[in-house]
Amino acid sequence: MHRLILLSSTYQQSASGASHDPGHWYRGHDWPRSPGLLVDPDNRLHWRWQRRRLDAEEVRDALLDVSGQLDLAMGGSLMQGSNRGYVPGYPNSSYDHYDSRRRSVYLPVIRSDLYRVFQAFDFADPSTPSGERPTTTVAPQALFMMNSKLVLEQTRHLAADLLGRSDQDDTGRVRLAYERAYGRPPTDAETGRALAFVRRIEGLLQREKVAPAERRLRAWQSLCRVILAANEFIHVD
Amino acid sequence: MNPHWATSDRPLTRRDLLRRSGAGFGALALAGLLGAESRAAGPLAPRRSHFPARAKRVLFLFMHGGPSQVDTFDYKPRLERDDGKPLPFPKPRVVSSETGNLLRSPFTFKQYGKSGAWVSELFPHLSTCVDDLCFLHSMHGSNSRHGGALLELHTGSDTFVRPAMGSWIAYGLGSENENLPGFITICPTLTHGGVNNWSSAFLPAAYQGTPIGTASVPAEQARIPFIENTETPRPLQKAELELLREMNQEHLTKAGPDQALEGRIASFELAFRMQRTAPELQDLSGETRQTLALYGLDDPRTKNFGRQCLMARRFAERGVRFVQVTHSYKWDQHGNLKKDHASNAFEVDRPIAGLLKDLKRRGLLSDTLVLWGGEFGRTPVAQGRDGRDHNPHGYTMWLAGGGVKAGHHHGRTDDYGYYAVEDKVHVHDLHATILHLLGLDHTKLTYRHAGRDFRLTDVHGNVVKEILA
Repeated sequence: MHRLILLSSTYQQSASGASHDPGHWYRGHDWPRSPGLLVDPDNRLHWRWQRRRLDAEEVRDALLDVSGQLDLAMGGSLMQGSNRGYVPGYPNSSYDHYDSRRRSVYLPVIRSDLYRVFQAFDFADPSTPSGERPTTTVAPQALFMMNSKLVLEQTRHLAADLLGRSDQDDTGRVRLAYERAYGRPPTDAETGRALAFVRRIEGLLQREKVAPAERRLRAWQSLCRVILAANEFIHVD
Repeated sequence: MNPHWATSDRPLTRRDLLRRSGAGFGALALAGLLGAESRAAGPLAPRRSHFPARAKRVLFLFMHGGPSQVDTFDYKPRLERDDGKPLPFPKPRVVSSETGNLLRSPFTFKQYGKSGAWVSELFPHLSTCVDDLCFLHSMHGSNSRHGGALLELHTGSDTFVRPAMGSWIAYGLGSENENLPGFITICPTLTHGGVNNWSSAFLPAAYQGTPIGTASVPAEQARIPFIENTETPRPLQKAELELLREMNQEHLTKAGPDQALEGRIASFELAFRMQRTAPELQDLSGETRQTLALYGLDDPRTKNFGRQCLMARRFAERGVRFVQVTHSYKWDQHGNLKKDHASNAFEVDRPIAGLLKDLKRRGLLSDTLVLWGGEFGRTPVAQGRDGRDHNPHGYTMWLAGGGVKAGHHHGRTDDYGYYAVEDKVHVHDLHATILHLLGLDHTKLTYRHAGRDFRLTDVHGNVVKEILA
């Protein structure tokens, strides 16, 4: 039964509305469109995969995974405090031990002080039953991608990892980054653009008087940050 | 399908497109061109109220712990006379702690302003503002414990997890400034329901309160989450966002029209602007020394709450819909009433009076609703020799500004200030009235969840028409 479902062409569809058939290049459009896009743009008939954004847990796990930091250990508990130790009493206190590389499913859910990363991405309120999580797109999520400690740390790991691959040249490193983040190799244009971007950032950092080795690492970190902030990373296409 | 909120994870339907373009088919092409405009359909886009609003925003000054009405704004000569005598009528069936006989207020009362409002000596600065205040002397709630009472005041329910009042309002009206969240709570308390007092519960997370710091963080250090990044220089971040936009546009072109993708592209630009706006807002160096003094920032005892109040004005000024300021868990005087109520009042008196005067001179008071009060009041009978127990049966809150009568007194407690007896205002009624002032009908502001429509006021609430200006 599962085999039947998983191997079906319906299940294997992508979310793209583009067509590979040049015959679908309609007048006035700049790219060939699947007829479905014209007949059923709302995708009521499931002619294409319904794109979805990653859930809060998936966002965190994906960030840790692409940077090679995700700890896949199974079982056990991350709760090390004493009984009632997680409930802020008086005076006001907060829980800040979310710093773990374990999968999100093992992170404590502290009702009184929920992990901010989860909160930012529509994690359901753990104090009330909820049948469905809405998916909102709000600026704090973008702020998270730009400024959070988690993203800053993981992109640095990813950059260090890429630069540590002495068997690869820079073109190969861009390919690795794309494959890890998007599951596909970059086009030549994308590779060229990424490398130009790294050079540009190195120039900017030179002006900020950053040491050469650190400059290179931070320029690649910048590229990684963009790759992971992009829509292609956070959506299942 | 909920009429109030256009979900952003759903692809743009033809119907949406027509509705958004406003002018129907003729404007279709234009709406297509203005793809970035989809942000306007986001969860925080400004929405029309049900009827014309008297207030555009709310500032809630929350006195956590339960300030005593009979020691502040509800003057009771009989309590003074009968000090030490037993209460001549029964105490409530459910009480929080054991109490004894009547206890007169250790503070002296005088009348102020043209309205002749009685105010105790605890509020020398606020007493100069009484002609702008609308006192609700007959408030009552359902819960005599802090946790339940806080939740009831903030969410309308002392038993179940429900969206906060600020979340309902952000959901109902959206935000006037898309560079800032719609609902901000400054230095909120993490106890007594904590996050549930500003959570959006089953409403979409976009409506949750954004906490700036917590009660244990000095206001000076309180920040919006993820707003700062000392690691990435601005020009570098700008370059990153340029590349990001290019990559996202390319992806969007291949993906076909998608509202969520477009919205996310816009959200990064918004975040970049927000990053500039929010710290500017918290930087008070542009305020004159006179303004800082007005809020009490020149005195170590008043400066923390003063800074919160001043930040609240700055957020309100820039269109944040609901701003809460919390004077955290200080007002719970089961003992030490005389000393501690005095120091609590001292900390807030000048900042609050400063806030009211500042709002007024800037012309903001007319469309800003200010709400002051705690989760309940305190008993006129003594707990120990110098304390009072919790009292949800009759207490005073006050409103000011946006659409309420100025220099007005509504409702009355009994001769000792224990029970609300005349024109009683339940917390649900307060909520209904606040929504009404914002142009929202509390019976129509609903959200479908778990098979039924929910409201801030559940099945309760009457608008207190008598206080409407």
